[in-house]
Amino acid sequence: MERDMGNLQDRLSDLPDLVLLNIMKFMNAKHVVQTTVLSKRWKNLWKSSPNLTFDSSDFLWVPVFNNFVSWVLSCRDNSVSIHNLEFRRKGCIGPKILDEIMTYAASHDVQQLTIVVNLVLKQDFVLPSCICNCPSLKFLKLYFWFPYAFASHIKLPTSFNLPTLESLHIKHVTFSTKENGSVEPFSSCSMLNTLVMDHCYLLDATKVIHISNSRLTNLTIRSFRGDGIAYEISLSTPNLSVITIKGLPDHKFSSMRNLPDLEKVKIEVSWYENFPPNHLVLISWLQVFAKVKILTLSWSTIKTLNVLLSEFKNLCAISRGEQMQLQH
Amino acid sequence: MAEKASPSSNSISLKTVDGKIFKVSPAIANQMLTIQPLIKDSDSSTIISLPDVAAFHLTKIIEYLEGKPAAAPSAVDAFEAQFVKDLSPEELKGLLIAVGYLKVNGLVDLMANTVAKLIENKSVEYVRKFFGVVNDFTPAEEAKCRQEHAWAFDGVDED
Repeated sequence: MERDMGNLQDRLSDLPDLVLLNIMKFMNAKHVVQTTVLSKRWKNLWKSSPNLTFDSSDFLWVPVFNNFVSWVLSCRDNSVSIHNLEFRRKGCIGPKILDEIMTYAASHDVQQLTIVVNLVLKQDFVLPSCICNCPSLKFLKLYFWFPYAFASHIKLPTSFNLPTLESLHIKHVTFSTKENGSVEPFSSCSMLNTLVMDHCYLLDATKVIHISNSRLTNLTIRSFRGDGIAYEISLSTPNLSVITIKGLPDHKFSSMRNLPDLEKVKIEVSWYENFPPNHLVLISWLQVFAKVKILTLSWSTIKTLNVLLSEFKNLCAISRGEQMQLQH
Repeated sequence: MAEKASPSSNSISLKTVDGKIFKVSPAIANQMLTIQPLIKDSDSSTIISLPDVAAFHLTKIIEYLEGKPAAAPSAVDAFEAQFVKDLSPEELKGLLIAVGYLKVNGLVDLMANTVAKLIENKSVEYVRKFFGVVNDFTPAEEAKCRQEHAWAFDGVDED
């Protein structure tokens, strides 16, 4: 043990680059670049890191953060592909730097891309086609946030062409309509198994979004009543096993007949005193999910249903269905 | 790397650098990717020597592999947080080397993440000391390097 501990420092300084780069994987880009001053060996090591996490909260001045991001992308070793790139920014952002990051990521075979930003737009922002057609992408998270100024949209393409994508998380984006008037954005993503749609919108005339993915097992939908037009969600997903719905009920589901493997449905209705949920939509969900094995209703969902029942002024008794498992 | 020992059950014998012998099940040993090929060729009498692993580190590695919950990511997170909580920086260094050498499933990333969190907001001197880095820059070279990477030192207090 003594002998072992004696040369611990020597062996630490002999750690292979791969081990050191693996440690950098868990650090934000700013701290990673700081290792450049440790010694001559470390000076250029960070440039080979396949993982980049940019977080504006590491910076006192947001404009400095923007310049830092561009600088890192221009300095790093161009021959090293990107495994994981995360870009998180508080405060407002224009589309230019977003374009720059996505273009860089796509041209470096990115596998996992996370963008969480507050985008301020003077006109519609169309997601760069290099990202919508990126053959290496396995995980894509695009969480936008901008005040309810719906004069402009963050537009997704009519169809994603992402053959290896397994997990897609999108927030505050608008789907484009195909020439034939339908919306079916994910049908080319043949490996997709997890889909999270958080506050997603359709353009004016369309009323239905089709989700047709044979491998999809996990679907989460979150909506807020009143943010855009209510639409219908049509599922053609034979392997879907879990659906989670959050927010204020807004979008109805088409018939659930083609969901043989649906095992769990979780409903978490948000509760606002002055913003009553759309009971009709909530009840339509309960109807279409009637054959599910496990139904989980959050406390606020039960409260919402309870309010509805309070309209039955002469009601004496309610009995509970046997197949229903209630959790909160 | 392998020598013969007295035959026993189908457990695998691992010998640490400080001479202790540990018997582990094939299921546990197989999660140490470096020794996987040796397990295939070994019989119950084989002892596999681990030149980069001390008894303390192997004890911790086995504790991790045996104790890690099978499902529920939240349970895994809680278990891993507890596992690294009481490790001193010295113990962490030794484990980082041992785990990197053995390529232990799950632990490679847990150790890297723990080290990353430990050094993230520390001074350059602390990080040099942690990794046993000898500063081979001249003061002028180091100053120039800082200057070239000034973006990364925005808002950093110098020590």
